[in-house]
Amino acid sequence: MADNERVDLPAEFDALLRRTLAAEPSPAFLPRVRERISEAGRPSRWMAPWTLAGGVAAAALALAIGLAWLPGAPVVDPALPAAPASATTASARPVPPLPAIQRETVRVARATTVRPARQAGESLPIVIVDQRQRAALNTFVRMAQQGNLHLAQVEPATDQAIEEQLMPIAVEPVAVSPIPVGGVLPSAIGRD
Amino acid sequence: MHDLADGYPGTLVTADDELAREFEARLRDSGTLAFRVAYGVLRHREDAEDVAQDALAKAYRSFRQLRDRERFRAWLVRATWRMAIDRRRGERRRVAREEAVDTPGEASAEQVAVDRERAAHLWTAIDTLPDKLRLVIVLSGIEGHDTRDVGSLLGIPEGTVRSRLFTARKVLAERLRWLTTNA
Repeated sequence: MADNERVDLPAEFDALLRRTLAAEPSPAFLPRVRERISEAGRPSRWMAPWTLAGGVAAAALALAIGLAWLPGAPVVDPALPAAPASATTASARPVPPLPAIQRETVRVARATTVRPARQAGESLPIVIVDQRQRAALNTFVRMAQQGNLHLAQVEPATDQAIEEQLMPIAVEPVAVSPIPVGGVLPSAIGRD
Repeated sequence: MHDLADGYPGTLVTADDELAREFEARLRDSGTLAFRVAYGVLRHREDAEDVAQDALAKAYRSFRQLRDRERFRAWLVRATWRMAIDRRRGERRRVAREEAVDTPGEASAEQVAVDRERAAHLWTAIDTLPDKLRLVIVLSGIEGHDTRDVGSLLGIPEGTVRSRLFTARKVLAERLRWLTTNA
């Protein structure tokens, strides 16, 4: 009993309170608890509910971040203007200079972020693609939507078919003349 | 793995064995405390044992989160208190509550009667206290608990315990005076 707080309470009641609260359980109390616990089995391995909820939230967050950074996941927006069919065969053309690509990618990224048709919270990852890739993907999606794409009819390419399509690679021989003793004067370079 | 375990000269226990051993220690340490807290509300031995048993079984189910001794005791006291209060509310119609105290064996019949009457007054007064004052009175009435222990069990500062105890005892004294003069 805390001694400092004995305020005005008659001593006989204090003693009475202490005596009452000094009651002992019956000898069978602890064995009964042990028996009940042994019937109940081992303590739960489950975490507390808030821990479980936190774990689920963390996993969902990690999944969302992982999807956002997933490489090679192109964003295809059917609402974008369709590219001409010829764009699908343009892969053999020379690669445009870098500034052109950058301008295009910036434009695609802006179009993705400000598009009003997208639902709030539906945060799709922004993937920067070349304008020809975008055109090809648009064509692919449009054809799929129109039902013009029949993947089952595509025959698997054989090695022979692929080799036939490959252009022969011709490398001109390079002639290298030995460096004369004493080195080469700068004025002599390119005279050959 | 078994070969390795057989060759180990020391004692090998599993995590579950260790957990069971720790709980047994807590049970011996705090079982009586749980009973007394319940008894302070119910004043009926069998009921108090039932409630304490329920609280201890519940503590066992969550024991992985309650392995720390102080945390375990604090949780157990609060859970037992709540369960005892709930049980008491559910048994308001019960008339024969055990208001008697453990009177010494050599006490006369007259002394026993006086003690019974005092106990009835005391618990009538305690039962009318607000919950937070009543809990402080009961816990500090259990032998061995000073204000710091009570604060630790309830998760409140020692100063708050002192303040609540002061208020509770003042209210109790007034009610007991009224009860004894008007009995």
